[in-house]
Amino acid sequence: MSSSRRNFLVLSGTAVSTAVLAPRVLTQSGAQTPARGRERAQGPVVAYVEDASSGEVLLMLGERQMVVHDAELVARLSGHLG
Amino acid sequence: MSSHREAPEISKDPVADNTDVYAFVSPDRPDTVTLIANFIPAQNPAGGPNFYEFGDDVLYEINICHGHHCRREITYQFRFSTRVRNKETFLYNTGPITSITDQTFNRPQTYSVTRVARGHEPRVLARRLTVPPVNIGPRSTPNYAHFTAEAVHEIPGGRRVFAGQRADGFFVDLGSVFDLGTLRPFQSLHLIPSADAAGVNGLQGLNVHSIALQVPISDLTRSGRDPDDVMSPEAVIGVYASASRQKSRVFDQRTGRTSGHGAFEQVSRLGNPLFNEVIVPMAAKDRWNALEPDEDDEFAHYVAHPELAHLLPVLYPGVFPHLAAYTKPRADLLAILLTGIPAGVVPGFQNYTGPTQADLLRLNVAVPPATKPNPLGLVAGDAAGFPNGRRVFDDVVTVELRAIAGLTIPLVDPGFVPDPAAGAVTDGTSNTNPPYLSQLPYLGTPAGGYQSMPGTPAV
Repeated sequence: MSSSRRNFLVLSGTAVSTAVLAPRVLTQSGAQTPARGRERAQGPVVAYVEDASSGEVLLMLGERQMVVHDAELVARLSGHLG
Repeated sequence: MSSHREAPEISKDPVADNTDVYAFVSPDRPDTVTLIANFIPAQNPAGGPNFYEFGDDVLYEINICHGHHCRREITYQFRFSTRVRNKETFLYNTGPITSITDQTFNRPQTYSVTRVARGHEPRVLARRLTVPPVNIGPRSTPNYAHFTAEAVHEIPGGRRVFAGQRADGFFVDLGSVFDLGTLRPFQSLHLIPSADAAGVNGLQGLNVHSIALQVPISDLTRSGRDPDDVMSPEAVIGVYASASRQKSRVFDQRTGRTSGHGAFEQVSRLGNPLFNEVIVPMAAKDRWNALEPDEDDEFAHYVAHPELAHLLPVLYPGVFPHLAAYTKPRADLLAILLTGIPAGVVPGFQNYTGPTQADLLRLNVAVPPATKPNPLGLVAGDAAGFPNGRRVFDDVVTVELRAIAGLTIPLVDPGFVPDPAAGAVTDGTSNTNPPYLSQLPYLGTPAGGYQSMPGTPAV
């Protein structure tokens, strides 16, 4: 998605940018688990790791998505398939 | 084709494949602009029992740009929802469908329209608008034409909208042009010659799905006014349509269906007809579909030095000597396709959006509808036609063929003399589908499955 489209959608609120409209339950920091008692995602979540060495995982929920920087999580996900 | 199956990736996803875009000041309501985006190419009218329909999982958009950034400033979004009334039958209809809301229509589809303006909250203009059934035959969908009027919906703000199956209004000789650039009326001059023949409309008898939106001109312009000065930048809008899918799709073996997850990302777009089709190289076509128009400077080289302009003199030896000798960048095509035509090129006309190179269908809304329209549009002196927007009957294949053959070079390079053939070249086709309408949705009644005869195979 180009930067102009992304900016437009963030402004318009029609889609969720990684930074602006991420679901509260999806942590964006390097913390490995959401704080206890925090609301959890409703519905299927898809995780996509394009490059395990980047430490980034793209999480998709409904029509929303966000990039999580969590090298340990990415390593564990990749390790299951290793 | 205009943009039917024009790129390797989207050719595998017809529901999201944007085939044509039209934008014109409505001849029957000249205070409005009509915007039409077609999808789902080359529909065989008899293609049941699971007939063609919009994708519930596709975000369809018609986008408006104004100003030199060539970014989308206004977007109309269309989202569809399909249900099955009777889950115990394989039938699309359980009896004659006599009205759009009949219970015998077993797979009704509805849609919403949302207007998104940059910097503002999205506004849902309408919900649960009905889509007509496809044209099955005289027993299932009798007197099909009446469905069209039923499916034209008045929505707030003086807007009208239609979404459903139509006859494809685009015409081109697919069989010949993809056979090494053959133009049947001139094929005796081809490198591999045969006797000249009449053109054959390769889209004859085929349908598409159209989204047709008619809005007040003031809904589209930067100022929110209805401009009357053709030479004012405010009078020019850029139009393109797009289709987007969610980032990921997951197949669920329990239901046998896929579900989408993540944000919508663009998989198809279209501004000028034939841009991705014959300008962009095959290896770059998929990427082009995913980009926004304001990133098209990446493809400007292919406009400045179009492959087809180099092929014509090779395929038709001795017919295009002036074109063959022309080595300058094609400033005429760069203007027509990527920036709009600036003031001073065509007397009394401009549709320039600034230096940003973007494939947009540019429409000067201050040009009134023509009283005697010419399908060759601006090159024939009819400023209400392509490439000032595009009307359903505009012969864009001939216009673009002649432009690429050099007919429009003198607009920007007066010293160039086009080859005589540049003003005559054509694929020889015209619309052979049901006639265009004089009001929304303008495209003709779709061909019926029962009534239409299959094509004639030959080897």
